[in-house]
Amino acid sequence: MRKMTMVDVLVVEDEPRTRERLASIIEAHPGLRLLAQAGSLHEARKALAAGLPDVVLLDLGLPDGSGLSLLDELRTKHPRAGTLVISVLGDESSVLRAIERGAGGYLLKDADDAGVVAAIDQLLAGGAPLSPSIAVHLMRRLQSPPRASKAEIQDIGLNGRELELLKLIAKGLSYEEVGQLMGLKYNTTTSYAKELYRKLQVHSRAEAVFEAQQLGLVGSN
Amino acid sequence: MAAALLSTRFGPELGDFLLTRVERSNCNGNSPWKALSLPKFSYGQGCERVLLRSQLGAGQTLEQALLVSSVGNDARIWVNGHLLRDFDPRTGFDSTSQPLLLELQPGILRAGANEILLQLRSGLGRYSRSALGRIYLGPSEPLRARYMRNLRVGIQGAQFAVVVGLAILLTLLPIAWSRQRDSSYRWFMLAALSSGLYLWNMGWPLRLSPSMLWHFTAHAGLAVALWAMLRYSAAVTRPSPACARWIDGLSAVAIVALLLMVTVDERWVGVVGDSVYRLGLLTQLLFLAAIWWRQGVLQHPLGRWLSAAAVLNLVLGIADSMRIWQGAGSNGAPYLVHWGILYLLLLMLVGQVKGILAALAAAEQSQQLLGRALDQRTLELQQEFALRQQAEQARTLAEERQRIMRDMHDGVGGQLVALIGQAEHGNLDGPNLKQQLRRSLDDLRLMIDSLDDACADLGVALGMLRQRLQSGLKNLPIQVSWHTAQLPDMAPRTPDEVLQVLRIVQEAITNALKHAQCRQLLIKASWVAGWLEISVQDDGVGMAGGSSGRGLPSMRLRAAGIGASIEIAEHAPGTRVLLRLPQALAGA
Repeated sequence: MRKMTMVDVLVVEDEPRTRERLASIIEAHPGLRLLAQAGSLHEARKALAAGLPDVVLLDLGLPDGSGLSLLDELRTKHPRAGTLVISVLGDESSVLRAIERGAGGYLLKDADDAGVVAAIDQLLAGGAPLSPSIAVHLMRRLQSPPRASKAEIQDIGLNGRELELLKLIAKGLSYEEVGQLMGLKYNTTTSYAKELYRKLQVHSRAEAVFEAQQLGLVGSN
Repeated sequence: MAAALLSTRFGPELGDFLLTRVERSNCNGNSPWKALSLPKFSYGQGCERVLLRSQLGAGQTLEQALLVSSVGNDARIWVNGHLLRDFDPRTGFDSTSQPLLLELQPGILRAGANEILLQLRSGLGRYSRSALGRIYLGPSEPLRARYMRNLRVGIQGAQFAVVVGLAILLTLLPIAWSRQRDSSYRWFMLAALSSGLYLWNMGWPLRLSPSMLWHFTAHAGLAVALWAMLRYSAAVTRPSPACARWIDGLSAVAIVALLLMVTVDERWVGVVGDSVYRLGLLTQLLFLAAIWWRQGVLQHPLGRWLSAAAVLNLVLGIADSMRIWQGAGSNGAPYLVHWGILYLLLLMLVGQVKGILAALAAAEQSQQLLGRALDQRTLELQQEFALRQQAEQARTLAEERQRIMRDMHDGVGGQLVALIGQAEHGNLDGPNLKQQLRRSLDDLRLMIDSLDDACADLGVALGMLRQRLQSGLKNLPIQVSWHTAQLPDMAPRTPDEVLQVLRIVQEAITNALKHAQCRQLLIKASWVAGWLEISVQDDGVGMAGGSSGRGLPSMRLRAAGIGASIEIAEHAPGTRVLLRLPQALAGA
């Protein structure tokens, strides 16, 4: 782990076996500490009130609501906490929705122990996972400007490097290979991905503002 | 218009009681004055002289004026040898009728007999008329007033009427032209054009400088106009074919008579020519009346007015003819029948306008009906389209659901059934179980990937496969190289096609790993000229060393199902599985 201090992890997952497996992986790792495990939104909120996690492993389908609403709360109340969405076999559309709402990455439900630790590590290192499919969706979304005023979309569009990176990722290349092809360091490559996540968030927020303006919910200024 | 003109021509008479004797002659030579009826239109060349003798009563004042109500041309006038008016050298020939007023200074008139001599200039050819109206000799004041009125109403009014008439014709002609499929419009157009020609000839100062040809043309125009009017009436009231033939025949007779009148020399026809002309008109009008009687034209909306026009023309024509036969009894009033014809022409205009308005209203109504029908049809089509779309969506959805169920059954389901079988026979150890379960999970992932629309591009689908397999392959002592990143963007494939391609490639990789005992594995994809080629090549023991099955039949079956082909070749050392399928580029 990069951090010398212990990393506090909150696991929010309603399925007991997955939750316990994730908890045990975290407990087994010397650099990670299990802050709490929650099986519902309610429990998660209680855990958040009790202590601030560095990383949240979050399942979206919870019995008392969607994990997406917890993402919103985390973004406003605990912006420093990183979130990994627990994804069922790479369900890309819900992963994208979570990224739009501020998730820092995703974790495959069937990832092995090393995979879980690697995902948390990547998140803490300022990187973000990009599957070929997510790369394609990012390309599609960011290449079509949001229906919003020009000022808001200044830094949303894709630059040439980002487009190149996305195209290579889409063909299945790893960050290492992409880095070699583009002459980038591994960390730079992953931070590119992080930046793309951010752009998607801004993009979707601009869209949301536009939608709200259309509905007359907020003023145009 | 016609009524105004008639009233100016037939105003109160003033002083013609003074004119006691009229003599007339050509001005060629010194032939003695010849007694003529006044005012006779004449067709002579050069000029004409008219000699008037009047007797002033003893009590009458000597300060009087002479008014000639209209002179069709210029005139030179002497009274008792004094030249009081000479030809105007500036104007040359002008056949428009105009009044002339001469103030007679004291000493010019004398008690007893006075001699007034008019020398009239007529046209350049024998077809130009030199009309002479009434001649008045009397007190200055009333004559001046009458002169002014003649000047104002007579000339200006006539000009105005002619210009308005021409303007109406010019406005309506294009409309008639645009509707000439209807035969009545054709006849109307012909009548209007030729009437316009005749009106132009009457109109000053619009008329052309006279020539024989022009004069002939104008009269021919009048004749054709009359004929076309009859044809128009016939077309509007739709007579029987026999009737129409009679109209044509008699019209032709009338036209020939008219043309004879204007072309044949005066010496041969003279008054007779005029009479033929009238007779021609009369024939036409009588015949028109007969047609109307026979055809029940009075029931036609315009029929009563057309009938009235015919009767009017008949009366006017008879009046004209009577005056011609009376000769000297007539005193210069112009022919009346022209105005009757103008009235008929105006009626035709009214008829046309009414017809056009009715047609417009009908068109508007049918347009509204059409619009409603179109709206109705559009609605029906939209509903039908929506229904079909729903049905199509439902069908697609059902097909896709069926496909997914089949895939799950064949893939994960089959594997689980096999696992249960193995477990029942007790030959399912830990590593084996894990491997089998991993395989099921991999297949499930392939299915999910194939449903992602980003993976509709086979290049991205291969990328997903690569990323999924990457972690598992990392720990093997085999060097796996992927050469799939150079693929261009390709046209999308259906989820089923994507799944089959992924399964084939995954199967080929699994086979190589399991059976080939290879050290290197090369997965390569390239697009060449409409074909996508994906090869999985190992450097292992080849086909001979492996099991014969290796899942090859199922791979071939899958390939055949999506129109692809599979080649499996020994590739010393090792084996190469080559999948080829037709593939278009994105946007192609």
